[in-house]
Amino acid sequence: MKILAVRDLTYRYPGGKDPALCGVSLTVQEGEMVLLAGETGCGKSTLLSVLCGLIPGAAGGEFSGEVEVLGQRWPVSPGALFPRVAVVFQNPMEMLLAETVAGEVAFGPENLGLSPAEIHSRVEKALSEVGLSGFESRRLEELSGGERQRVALAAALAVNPRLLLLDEPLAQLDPEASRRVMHILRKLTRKGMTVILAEHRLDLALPWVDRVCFLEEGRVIFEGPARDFRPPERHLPRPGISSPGEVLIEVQGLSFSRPGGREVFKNLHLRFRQGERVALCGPNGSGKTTFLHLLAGLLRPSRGRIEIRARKGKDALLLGLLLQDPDLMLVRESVEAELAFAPENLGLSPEEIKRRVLSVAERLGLLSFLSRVPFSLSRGQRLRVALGALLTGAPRILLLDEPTTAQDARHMARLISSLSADLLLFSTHDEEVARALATRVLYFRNGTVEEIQP
Amino acid sequence: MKNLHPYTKLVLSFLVSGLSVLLDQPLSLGLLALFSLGLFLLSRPEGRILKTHLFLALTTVWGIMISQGLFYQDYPRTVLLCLLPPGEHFSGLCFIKEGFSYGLIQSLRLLAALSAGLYLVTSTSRELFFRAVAALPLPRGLTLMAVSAVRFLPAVAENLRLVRQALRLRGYRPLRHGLLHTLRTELSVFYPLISLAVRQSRILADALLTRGFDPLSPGRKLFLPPWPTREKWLSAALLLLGLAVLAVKILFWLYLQEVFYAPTLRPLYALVRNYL
Repeated sequence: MKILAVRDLTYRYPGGKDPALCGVSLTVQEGEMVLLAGETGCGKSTLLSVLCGLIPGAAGGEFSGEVEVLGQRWPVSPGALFPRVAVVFQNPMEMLLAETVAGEVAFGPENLGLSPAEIHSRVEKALSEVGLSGFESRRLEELSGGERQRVALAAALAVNPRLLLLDEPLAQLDPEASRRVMHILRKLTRKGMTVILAEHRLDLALPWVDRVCFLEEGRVIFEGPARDFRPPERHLPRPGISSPGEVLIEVQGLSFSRPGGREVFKNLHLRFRQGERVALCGPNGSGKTTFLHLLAGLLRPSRGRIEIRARKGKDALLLGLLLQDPDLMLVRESVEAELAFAPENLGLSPEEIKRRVLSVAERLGLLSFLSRVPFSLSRGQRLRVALGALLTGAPRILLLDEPTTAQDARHMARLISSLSADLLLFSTHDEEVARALATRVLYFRNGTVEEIQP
Repeated sequence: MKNLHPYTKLVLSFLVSGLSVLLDQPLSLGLLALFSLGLFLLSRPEGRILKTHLFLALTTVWGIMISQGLFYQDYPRTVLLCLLPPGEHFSGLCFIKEGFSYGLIQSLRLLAALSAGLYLVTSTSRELFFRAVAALPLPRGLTLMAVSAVRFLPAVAENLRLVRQALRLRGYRPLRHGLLHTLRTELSVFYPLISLAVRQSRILADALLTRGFDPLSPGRKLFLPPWPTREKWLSAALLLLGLAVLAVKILFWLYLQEVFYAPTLRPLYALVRNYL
């Protein structure tokens, strides 16, 4: 039985230059598991937003084509699709509404006006389906990334949907947690539920799905059975390797724990040398961001010490850190002012500031945006502005926290390979990018760090 | 006191806040402040919360007393000490006795409300407090907004810390490039915070839209422990007491404004004049 049909769908976001979706057609049968694949920005999440009714209703924009889900024709409000269609968004922590696991899972059934006994029973059943029985009273902020993802899934299952939409459910999970989530989804489809997931980690998702819809720049490039799908090869640039020089950072016996929290690392001993490109990999919550924040001096070690042996130049910053959310670094009224901020703080001459701003803007493709307000740019452009704002300070050590998240990995890889700092450390979930770009790969897991060959 | 039901605590805090506005006599305000302080102390707060309370209480009481003592404008005025003696065109800067007592009354109001508020917030787990607010007989749109705002406060504080540290890493040092540059930079930290708040609100709104949330539906008492009958009666009595004080204060005001006077109410007028 056909559960969903999309015909010639084209959609452009309000103010958008190019359409996010262009002539998309797709049909899904009941009980199928369909994978929406493609590079970041290809339109996967937009298509999911259409299927759950958020587009065009809440978002506005230009919409054409036909969409029909469970007999409802578009435009339709998300409320009209509830509870038959349930959605799990990209970052579960941003969409969780309650304090505890039980409160979160009960939110949907509560909105259905069910009796407390029925709500309790649904919460219990949904948690058992995702393997979280006994977690009812646990606080959401205490859970790991994988557990939060499963809570979000349980919250969606508790309303007994017929169609389940998931946006990047594996993005922040390690392979083991990913397998567990995919196994749960497979079980649900065997019971007759239809599952559509947008995911870019093809190696983890492909073995489990029935069909694949591969998108590129908003257009469907492939649509068919998973066994017929051959993922396009990624050509990542491989920067030249220079022999490591003097030690710039030495980490001795580093341990760190947050007040009242578990120990994130225990007794780490590491050395980072001039000329190295070090990738930090590992599951979400394994301490990659914490480690970068410790190196940058944003956090203090619980025990041990971090010695920065590199010396700060007269016209250069010692260290630059690109935050995981680069928007938190954008504080000025124009891109030009943002890029000029670090050299201004270094007390450089106006001519030198201008030279650095123009040079970095040219390298990062920002020349045409210099007079724009940073927040009026796209996410990828904002990330380049934040990175540029560091590069104009010419830091000797460059720390990048998840620069490839929600970015086109090929473009970002090209960008990273062109960076010129004495020492570069970057964290990433994309192990392929890590192996291609790094001279060393450190794998963080359960409070330890393992060095693996790139 | 710590284990009272959140609704009982809400009633107690509401009563203390209401009375701190209604009462005018130093004795009754002092007793109210003592009662409120007692509630707070009996809930056995942690040392750091006790220190915060002490700091806030002392700065509030002394700040208001000194400012009122110096800048009191009403009459009669009894000068205690002049820092700057009055001149031909200057009325002087002197400590006024009546200003001190007026300041004391105002600070007792604040002290009572402060202790009650801290008692409510620090003696109730966040989860229980949220559940209680969410179950209030108000539209869920309002209670969810209130709860979400409080829930995101720690995240906002963490983001503010990150924004400031990111500035430091880009070489910014306050006052190094003048006051104007510093003020501009300090104010600009709000750009990313506001942008992030808007983005998160949008995500939250999308989640609510797709999860069948109706902002006009009433709150649900799910997962909230039952309100013990004894505490219900106590709360009803406390609310009645608050209403009674409000009623007699209104009657007294009507008498003062010569709108309504009943000779049989004279003992009540005397009670309000002397004690309330």
